[in-house]
Amino acid sequence: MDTLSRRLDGMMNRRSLLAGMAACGLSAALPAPAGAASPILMRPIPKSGETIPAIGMGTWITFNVGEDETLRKQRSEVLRRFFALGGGMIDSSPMYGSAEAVVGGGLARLGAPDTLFSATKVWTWRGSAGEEQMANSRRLWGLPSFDLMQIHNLVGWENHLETLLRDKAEGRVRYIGVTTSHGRRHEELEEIMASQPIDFVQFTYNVVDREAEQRLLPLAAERRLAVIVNRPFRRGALFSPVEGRPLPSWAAEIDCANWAQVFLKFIVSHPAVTCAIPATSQVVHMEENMGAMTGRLPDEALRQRMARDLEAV
Amino acid sequence: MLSYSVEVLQSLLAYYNQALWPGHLLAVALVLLALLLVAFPQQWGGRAIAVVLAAGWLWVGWVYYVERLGRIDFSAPLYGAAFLLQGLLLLWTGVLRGALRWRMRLDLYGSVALLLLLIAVFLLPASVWFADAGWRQLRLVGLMPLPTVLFTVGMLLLTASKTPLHLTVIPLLWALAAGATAWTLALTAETALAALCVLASVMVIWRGRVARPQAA
Ligand SMILES: NC(=O)c1ccc[n+]([C@@H]2O[C@H](COP(=O)([O-])OP(=O)(O)OC[C@H]3O[C@@H](n4cnc5c(N)ncnc54)[C@H](OP(=O)(O)O)[C@@H]3O)[C@@H](O)[C@H]2O)c1
Repeated sequence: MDTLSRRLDGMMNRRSLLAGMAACGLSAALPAPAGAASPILMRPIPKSGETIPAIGMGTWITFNVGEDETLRKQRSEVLRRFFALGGGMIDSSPMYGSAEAVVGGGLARLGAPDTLFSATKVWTWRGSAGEEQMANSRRLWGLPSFDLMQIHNLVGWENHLETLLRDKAEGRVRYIGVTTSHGRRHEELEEIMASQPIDFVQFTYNVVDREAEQRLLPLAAERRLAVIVNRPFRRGALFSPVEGRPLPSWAAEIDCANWAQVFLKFIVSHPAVTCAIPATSQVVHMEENMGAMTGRLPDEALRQRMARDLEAV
Repeated sequence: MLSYSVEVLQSLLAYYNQALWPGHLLAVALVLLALLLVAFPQQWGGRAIAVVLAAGWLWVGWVYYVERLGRIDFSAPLYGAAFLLQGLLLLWTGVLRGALRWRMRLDLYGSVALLLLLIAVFLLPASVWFADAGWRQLRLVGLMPLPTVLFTVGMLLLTASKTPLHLTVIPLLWALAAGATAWTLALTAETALAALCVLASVMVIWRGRVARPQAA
């Protein structure tokens, strides 16, 4: 418990500092963490002004490694690199098999840094089972509370929202949100975004799946909702068409050293996006992905060109 | 939509086999007994074979699907429930009602049945020689789903009278789902075996529709 309270104190101090910086308009970049070369891109959570690193980490498939100790240790190394390069948000769900337990094991092994922004989900049709599921997630992660609790794929959202609002009021969670993935139940999501007192929304957006630009992203900006982007690499499918191809000439203008950074910079340069959460099981990929938080970002004209050029590929 | 990678599935199988040893010997003995009872029918043989088949489905349903795979796959309990149901159906039809009798046959159905039994009992276990993790990747009838389904469908092609439809539905649905999963994971051999299972299940149904009930 001691370690936990120290961890929480650490988080709060850094958070207060970040919130203060955001209020003074200083939130765009933070000094580099040990291991990172230059300042990293931070994004404010609109409802609070607190800033978080613009690249987080997903855990679907990649962290679901079961009991295998070798694989668990290897994923802890991925986590270590994530934090060393300034990583913040980790997104998981009870739906992801052993992923929450593997993240929790990694945090216990490494010690959770004060940049950790813990985000998981409640995923059950039975409203009454939600509380127990969330308590189980806290146990698996080894945390007394979550930074963000989301309703997974809108499953049973009416019932869970009540619980989440109560949990937020009682300090078991700091922010609440809802999630969906590409093309699924967007109309219902819009209704919730427009009418419910949530802080975060999560959906799919990438250089190919750009439907969110039409309504979801503008609505999030209008409602001051933080946006988490899932499937930033289209579950990895974006890489095969560009395999072996040289980077386009404009990649140098935005300091991209690889395709992963091109894809991620396209996403995090959208003004309504708060954080993208690529998932990876490999340390080298983690390094590539986190690199998208440094250097220049594309402006609107270049974003249009990126989308055009990559659609052609 | 699979929530794990092939690497993780192989690791799960390795842990499962390690935990089961030497239970494999019992599983092999029961399967050989069932085969002997088809070759040399006994008065009580029909019921005994049904018990062996049911035991395999119940074990795989509970221990493999619910207890093991359930840790990494949210849909595993659903598969587990289907396997448990098939185990109960086999007990009800083959043991309580005594409605299943087996005999060797040399027609097309018998040949396909032999192929399935050969793959399930000998070829799948033998394939571990080619697996990196050696015997830890062992897949035996009664312990893992694919050989259990192959073996069961093979046996259903060898029933003396037509096989009740309700015993074919779950193996057929499982083979369709497993085939789709194996296809997603680019596991060529598993996809082909699941397709063979689908074909053989359809043959079991077809045989039931065209064949007149025969005396055991
Ligand atoms: N409804 C929801 O709430 C919902 C839905 C979907 C996703 N999500 C969340 O969003 C996260 C991200 O989505 P996702 O995991 O579906 O897909 P994704 O992040 O778009 O893609 C993951 C795939 O990209 C590969 N990859 C990662 N970095 C790479 C790099 N630098 N170079 C080459 N390949 C790379 C990974 O393989 P390697 O392991 O080999 O790196 C993995 O196969 C999920 O993990 C989950 O947390 C939530």
